[in-house]
Amino acid sequence: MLSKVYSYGLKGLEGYPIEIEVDIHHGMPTYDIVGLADAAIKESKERVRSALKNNGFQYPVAATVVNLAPADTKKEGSCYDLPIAVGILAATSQLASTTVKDYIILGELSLNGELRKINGILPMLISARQQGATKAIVPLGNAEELQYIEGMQIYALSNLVEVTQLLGNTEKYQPVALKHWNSSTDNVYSADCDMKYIKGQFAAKRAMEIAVAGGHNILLIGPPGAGKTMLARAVPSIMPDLTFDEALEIAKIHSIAGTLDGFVDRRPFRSPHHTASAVSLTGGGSKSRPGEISLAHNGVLFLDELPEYPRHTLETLRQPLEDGVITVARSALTVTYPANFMLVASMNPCPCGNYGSSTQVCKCSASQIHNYLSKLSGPLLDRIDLHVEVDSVDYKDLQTEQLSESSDTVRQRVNVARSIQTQRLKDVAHIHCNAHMGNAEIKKYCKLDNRSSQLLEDSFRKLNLSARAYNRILKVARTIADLDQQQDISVQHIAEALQYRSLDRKYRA
Amino acid sequence: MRQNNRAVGNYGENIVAKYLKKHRYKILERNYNTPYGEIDIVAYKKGITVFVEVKSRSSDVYGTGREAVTATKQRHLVRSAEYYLVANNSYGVAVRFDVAEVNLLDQSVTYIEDAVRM
Repeated sequence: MLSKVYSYGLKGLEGYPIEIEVDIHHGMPTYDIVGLADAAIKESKERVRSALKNNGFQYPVAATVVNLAPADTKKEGSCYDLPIAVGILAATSQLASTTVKDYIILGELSLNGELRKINGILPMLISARQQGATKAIVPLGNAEELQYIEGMQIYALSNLVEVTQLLGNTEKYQPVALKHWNSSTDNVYSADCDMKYIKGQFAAKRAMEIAVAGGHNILLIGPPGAGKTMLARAVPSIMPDLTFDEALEIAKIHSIAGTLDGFVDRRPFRSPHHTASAVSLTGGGSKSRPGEISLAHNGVLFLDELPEYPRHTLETLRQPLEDGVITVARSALTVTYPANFMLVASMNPCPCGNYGSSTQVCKCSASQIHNYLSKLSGPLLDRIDLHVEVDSVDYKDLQTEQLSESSDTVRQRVNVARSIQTQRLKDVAHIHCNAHMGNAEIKKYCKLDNRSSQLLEDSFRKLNLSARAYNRILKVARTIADLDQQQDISVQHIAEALQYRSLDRKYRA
Repeated sequence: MRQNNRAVGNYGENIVAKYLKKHRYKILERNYNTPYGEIDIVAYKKGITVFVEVKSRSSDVYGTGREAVTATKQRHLVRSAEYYLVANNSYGVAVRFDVAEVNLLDQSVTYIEDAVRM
């Protein structure tokens, strides 16, 4: 007998419907899966057989053919164990098959019939809902990430027997309760990275606040031990609250990568070590997996000791830094992942680290300094909006018992500035902050008065700025004005934004 | 008792044949020869044709009987069964492969249904 079960597959971030047909007929007791299944799906044979037997069902003494349609796309993962098992039960009349067609069924089976959590279920069900599905059966372990999907009855169950009971009688189980998004990220971040423990460094902290408020890229330059890493580690504690759209974008990517624990409650902070490969940053592999820059989407990518990363690795970041997306093309499939991250990088100005310091003496030769800085290409630095020099901490500042401003206070200001931006950009899709504004938005929202444009023009000529740098200065100025809660950009905002192009001024002259 | 392996094998198969009859199987063939090897017993019950591989042991010193049904022997059993089905014009029936383990000391049978799958 033939049975049909509906399930879902993934192409990048988009789900597509998969029909699982199970045909059972007399003949040699064979088991075949057709429809470009990967090794994990082929192995489902043993899991399904054991799960059925161990739950008191009959495994058919007959030839079994499983077809995953459409037959021309590659299917992967263990999420089709449950639909195949349900298909076998329906085809052998061990299950009333009339209700099966109402559900999207996904789940991995363990040998005793328990349902195990699977990856990528959130984007699958979001697509399923958009394409008109109304009911789904999923593993209980995935319930938490699905509680924000509206307009769909999602049943999260713990084992195969519960699934058969639900298909027989829908009244016994309740769908996952819909939860409302609570944007506050208070108390989410650990207290040891609080801004209040960073002594001195007022200029750097101000720059960090601007960068976080507008989502701008920032580079911290300074001698070892000045507190660059500490500043970067404190970034999560001042990041603005997540909107639901942003959280959903993050959750989709992390659901695919399998790094989603529950739902997203904070912006990601990713800090890959400098031995990371280019592919691990951008994404790739035979199945086009998302890389660190996509996992840092709507959050922070922190690259400590920037010149230590291989040049080739850093150059791969150029295009995503500009576009906010990365297209990973592999033979199996081509996927475009979002990659709107805020780059936070730190570096020493020279091999000994003391070049430009007010207290230490640099021991490097001019050519050493030149070589060290030339590890970073001009085009990459051009994409970094704020270059901040972090000098050694003064002893007086270090000794003071007085704590600085706490992260909570800073975050409140950041939140105000960010909500002004979200409000302003609410009609533009996928742009949530100033840093991601395109040319049209810059033209519309970054108007300058005469004095400001005169200052910008002078600086542009004097510093040999690029057209890109010009746009980025405008965006930073917009953020500074937002922090000031000013409608228009004025001359001091432009002046401060220019202030943060120190690499253009000092090191590359 | 052990004069030759053939005799021991026959002795074990007789015990299994008795066991099958007791459990309402119809014995269709015994020692059915094919180009791929011999099928010990072909039986039939409730619409399913059953091919039985019999293993006789008087001790587990050389491994248990069920362990002796290696992957190669399973393949031979399946090929032989296909030969039988074609020869008897009964392709498309339900088919099952069982293993029967005989303890020669107490004549007990450990019967494993559906032991081999392709």
